[in-house]
Amino acid sequence: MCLLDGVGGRGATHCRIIQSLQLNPIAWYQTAKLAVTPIVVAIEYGLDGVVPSAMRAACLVLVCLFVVKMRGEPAAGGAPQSAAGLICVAIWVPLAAAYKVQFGRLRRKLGKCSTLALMHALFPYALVVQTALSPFVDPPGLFDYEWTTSAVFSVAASGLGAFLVNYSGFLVVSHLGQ
Amino acid sequence: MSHVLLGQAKSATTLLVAALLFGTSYTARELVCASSAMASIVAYAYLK
Repeated sequence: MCLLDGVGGRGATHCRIIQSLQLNPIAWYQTAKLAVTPIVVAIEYGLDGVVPSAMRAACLVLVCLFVVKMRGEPAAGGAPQSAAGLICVAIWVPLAAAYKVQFGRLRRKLGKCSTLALMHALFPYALVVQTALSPFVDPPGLFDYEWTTSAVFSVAASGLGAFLVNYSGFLVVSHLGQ
Repeated sequence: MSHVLLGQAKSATTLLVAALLFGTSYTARELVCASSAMASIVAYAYLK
């Protein structure tokens, strides 16, 4: 399932490494996403010397604060269920940040291009990484599923849905500034 | 960074749409914070 989600384009960092509810509650995943923002800023500064303007930095701080408060009690109670869950989050956050940074760098490199061209440039690499990770983070694995007609249809529909979600996201991002 | 903020915007929008269209019950604080988060994201997109 993870493999097909990669075909949809969520990329290695979006592999369900921490979204598995066996390891982490969904609220913890949502809260952990907030840690990606400051790491992206740090990486972009370290690699490219990019520093957001004071106004934009203030906006980023406000977004993080409001999202934390928006979560309310579920966020406070959404701690990882186990050490394995915490380790997965610790692995996922920097990976996600690196993916976002690379996404931005690729976009700047390509310049003005279509949404599909941007996806075509990014996803082959993400797909390779995600395919390699899938057997480790999404047991029981591709060949252990019972591939009935209904299951194949569900997986295909899920893959199509994931692709469309990513397409819509890239459509928005390609029209926004960095 | 736009990609990161897009993810947060989706979360806030989900909460607001659930409240507006489906009548899901949220506290005033959650709704205000979701709206403010969206406003902050829009401001980030416009500011340089």
